[in-house]
Amino acid sequence: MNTLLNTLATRLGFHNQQPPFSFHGGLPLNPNKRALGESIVEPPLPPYLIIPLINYAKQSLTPTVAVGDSVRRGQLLAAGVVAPTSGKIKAIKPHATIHPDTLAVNAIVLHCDGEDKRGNPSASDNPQELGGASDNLSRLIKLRSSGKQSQMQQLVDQFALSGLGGAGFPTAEKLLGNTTPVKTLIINAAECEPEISCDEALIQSDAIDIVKGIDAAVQLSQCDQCIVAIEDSKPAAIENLQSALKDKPTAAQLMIIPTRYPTGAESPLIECVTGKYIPHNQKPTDHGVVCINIATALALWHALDNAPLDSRVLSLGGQSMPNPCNVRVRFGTTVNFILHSTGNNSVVNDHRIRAGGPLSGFDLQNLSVPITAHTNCILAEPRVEITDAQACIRCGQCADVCPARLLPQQLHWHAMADDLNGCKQFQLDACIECGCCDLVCPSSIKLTETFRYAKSQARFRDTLELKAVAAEQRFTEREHRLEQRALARKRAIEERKKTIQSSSEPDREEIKAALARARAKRQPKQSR
Amino acid sequence: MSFVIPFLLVVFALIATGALLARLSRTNTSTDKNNTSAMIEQVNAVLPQTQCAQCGYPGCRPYASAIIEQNEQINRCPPGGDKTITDLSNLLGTPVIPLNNECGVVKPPLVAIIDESVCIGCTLCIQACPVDAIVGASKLMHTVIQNECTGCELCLPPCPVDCIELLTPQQTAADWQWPRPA
Amino acid sequence: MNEWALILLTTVLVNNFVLTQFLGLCPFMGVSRTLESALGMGMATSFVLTLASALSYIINQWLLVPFELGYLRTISFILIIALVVQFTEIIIRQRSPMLHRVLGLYLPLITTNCAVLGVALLSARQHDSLIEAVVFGFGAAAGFTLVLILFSLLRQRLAGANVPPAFKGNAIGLITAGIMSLAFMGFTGLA
Repeated sequence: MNTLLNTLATRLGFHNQQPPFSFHGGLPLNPNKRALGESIVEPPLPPYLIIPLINYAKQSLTPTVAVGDSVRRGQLLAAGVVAPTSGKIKAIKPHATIHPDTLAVNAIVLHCDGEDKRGNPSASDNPQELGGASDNLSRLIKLRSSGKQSQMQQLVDQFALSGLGGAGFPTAEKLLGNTTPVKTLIINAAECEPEISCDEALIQSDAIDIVKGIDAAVQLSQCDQCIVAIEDSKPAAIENLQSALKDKPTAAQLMIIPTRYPTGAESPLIECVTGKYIPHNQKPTDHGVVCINIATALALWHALDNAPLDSRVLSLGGQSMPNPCNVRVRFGTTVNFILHSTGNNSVVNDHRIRAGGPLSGFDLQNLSVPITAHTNCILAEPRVEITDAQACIRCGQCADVCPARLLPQQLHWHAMADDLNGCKQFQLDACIECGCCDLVCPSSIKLTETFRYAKSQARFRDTLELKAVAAEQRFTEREHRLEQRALARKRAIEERKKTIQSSSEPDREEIKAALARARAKRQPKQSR
Repeated sequence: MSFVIPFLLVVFALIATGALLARLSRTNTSTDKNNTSAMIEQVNAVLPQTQCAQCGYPGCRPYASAIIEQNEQINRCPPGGDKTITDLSNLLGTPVIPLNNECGVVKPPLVAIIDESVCIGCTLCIQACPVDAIVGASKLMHTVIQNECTGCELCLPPCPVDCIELLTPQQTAADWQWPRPA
Repeated sequence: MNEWALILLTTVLVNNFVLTQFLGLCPFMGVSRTLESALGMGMATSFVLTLASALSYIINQWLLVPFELGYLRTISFILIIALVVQFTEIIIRQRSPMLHRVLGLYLPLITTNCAVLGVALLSARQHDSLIEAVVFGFGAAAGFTLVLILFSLLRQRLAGANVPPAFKGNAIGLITAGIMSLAFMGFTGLA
C-alpha cells in the first residue's frame, strides 16, 4: 500500500527528487570507481600536442594556421578547434588517433613552449569585447533573441565547445540551434559505466562553477525546467551539488536516479527522467528535450569566461592500473605521456590498454595517440584468453537487458549472415552499443562487436547508394545534354542546307565547280 | 453418337475461352509499357551506377532495360560483384550465377587521378567520362572531382599521354568500417 | 456446417497436399526463396485451386456424368485449370509485373501442377455438393499457401546459417522439407 502511495505521489510530482520513471533493460553493475581519489591529478604540460583536424561528424577540417606559426592558448586552429597551449606549429600531417584501427587523420603537431600564454590575437584587437562570463552570456542571449545567427556562430566557434560525454556532439548547437522550444534540459551527471569517475571528481572539486555553468545553460536554452540527474551511488557528489544548488538559486532541480547501467546514455536517461521513450529515428530535441553532460556545463562556464574548452578530466582505471586516478589533460596529449606522468608506465608493455569504459570502449593498439574531447577513460586490463563464442541457445536474456528494446539474438543472426535488410527490419540503428547483451550472454557471443560491424557496413552501404543515385543523375543529365546537342547540330545542318539551296545562282555554280574539282581529285585515288 | 456433340461443344468452348484470354493478356500494351519501365527502374536501382559499360551496354540503365526486355544475363556487372548478382537474382527470381569473366573482374573501388603536370589539356577524357566527373578546358589542365568519380576507367583509353591513374581512395574516418568479428 | 469445417481442417493440416501427399513439390521448392514470392504463389494457387475445384465439379456433375464422358475427365479438367491459370496470369501481370517475372515459369506451370489436378480429380470423385468441393479446393490451397510461407521463412533463416558446403542450397531445403513433413504427420488422427 505504502509503495503504491509512493508511486502515486511521485507520478504526481510531490517529491521531485525521486525519478518517476524507469527505462527498459539495463544492468545493475558494480560501479568500481577506483580512479576516484582525493583530488584531480594535474600532470605537467607535455613537450608536444597532437590535435587531429576532424569534427564530430568525422569530416576533416581545414586548418586556419600554417606550419611555423606561433599560437597562443585558446587561438583558433580550425573551425571548433583551439590551441590547448601556446607554442609553435611544427607540422600538419596524418597522425594516428584514438581509434580501434588507429586510423591516421590529418593533425596539427604543436610544440609547446611551456609558457602557456593565453589570448586570441584576433580577439585582443578590441579588448572591450573580452568581457567577463556574464557579459559574454548576456551578449550571446541578446544575439540569439535578435536573430543574428552568424555573429552568434562566430562567438560560439571561439568556445570550441564539444560534448564531454562520449559522442562529442557540438554543445552550442544543442543549446542554441533548436527549432522547437526546449521544455526539459537534462544535465547528465549519471556517469553509469563502471570505472569512469571523471564527472564525479569534477563535481567534488568544482560544484560551484558547475552550477554557474548549469545556470548559463538554462539561460541559453530557455528551457522550462532543468533536471540534474545523478546516480544514487555517489553520495558525496550529491551532497556537493545540493549545497551548491542551494547557494545559487537556479531553475535546476536535482534528481537522484537508481544506479543501473546504462542510465547515462541519452535515450535511457531521457526515458528515466521524463518517462518519454524517444524512438531511434527521432531526435530528443524534436520532443523538447536537450541533454548535456555535467562536465560540458562546466566547460560552458569556462568558455564564457574566455577559456575555451581545451582540456578534460579523464579516469585512469582498470584492474591492472597501478596508480588509478582522475587526471586533467590538455587535448592532444598522448596516452603514453599520461600513463608515464601519472606513474602508470609499468602497464604500457604487457597489458591491454583500453580507451573508453570497460563496456563501451575498445582496445588501443598504439599508445602514442592523442586524447580528444570524448576520451573519458583509459583502462589497463590484464591480457586474458578470449573465450570462444558458443552457439546461441536463444535464451532471450539479451533482449531483456537491451535498453533500446531490440532483439539482439535476431540481429546477431542477420548481422552474421550479412543480411543488412534483415538488420534494418530489426532496427539495428537503434542499438546504442552499450554492451549489456555481451555481459549477460551465457554463450559469450560478442554481440556488440557484431552490431558495430553491421552498423558500419550499413552506413557504408548507404553512402554507396547515395553515390550511386548521384552518379545515375549525372549520367542521365549528360545523356540528355548530348542528345540535345546532337539535335541542335542536326537542326543547324538542315538550316544551312536550306540557306544554301535558296541562295543565288552564282553561288551554286561555284559549289558545283568545287564539287567537280573534288570528284576529279578523288577519281585517280579510287582507280588505284 | 449422342455424346459427340456435347463433347465437341465443351472442348470448343474451353479452347475458345482460353484463346480469348490469351489474346486479352497480350493486347494490353499501354499498361505493359508502364510495367516494363517500372521493372527497368527497379533493376536499375540495384545496379551500382558506375556507368562503366563493362556489361557491353553504354551504361547502367541500358543494361537494366536489356535485362528486362532482352532477357540478358544478370552476371555482366563486375563493379557490382556478387552482391549485385544476388540482389538481381532475388529481385527477378532467377538463380544466382557466377560473374561472367568476359565482362571483367571484381576490383576494389577505384578513383581516377590525373597527373596534372603531364596533362596536355586535350579534353578527350572529359568527353569520355560518363558522369561528368572531370573538369578542365581545352589546352588547360584537367582534374577529377574525386567525389563524383565512379572509377569506371573509361577515361583511360582516350588519354594520349597516359596521365590518368586509378588509385584506391584513401581511407577516411567517415567510411572506416569495423572488422568482421570472427 | 460441421462437415465443411472438418473438410477444411483435414485438407489444411492432416492431409496437407504438399507435406503429407507430396503433391505440388516443384513450386514448393522453386518459389520459396523469398516470402514475397511465396505469398504471391500461394495467392495465385489459392485462386486457381478454389475456382478450378468449383468449375471441375460443375463440369463433372452436370456434363461429364450425365453424358457418360468419364474418360474425358482429365483432359477437360486440364483445360479448365489452364483457363483459370490464364485468367490469374492476366491479373498478376497487371497488378504486379515484378511478381509475374519472379514467378516466371511456375505460374503457367500451375496448369500441370499435380496438386491442382489432384484436387480437381479428388473433389470430383469424393464430394457430392458444390460447396463441399469449393471448401475442399480452398482448404487444399490454404494448406499449400501455409506450408509455402512456413518454408520460405525457414529458407530465409537458413540463408544465414552456417550450412556445410555439401548441403548448401536445395539439399538443405529438401532436408528441411522432410523434417517439416514429419512434423505435419503429427496431425494424423486429429480429424
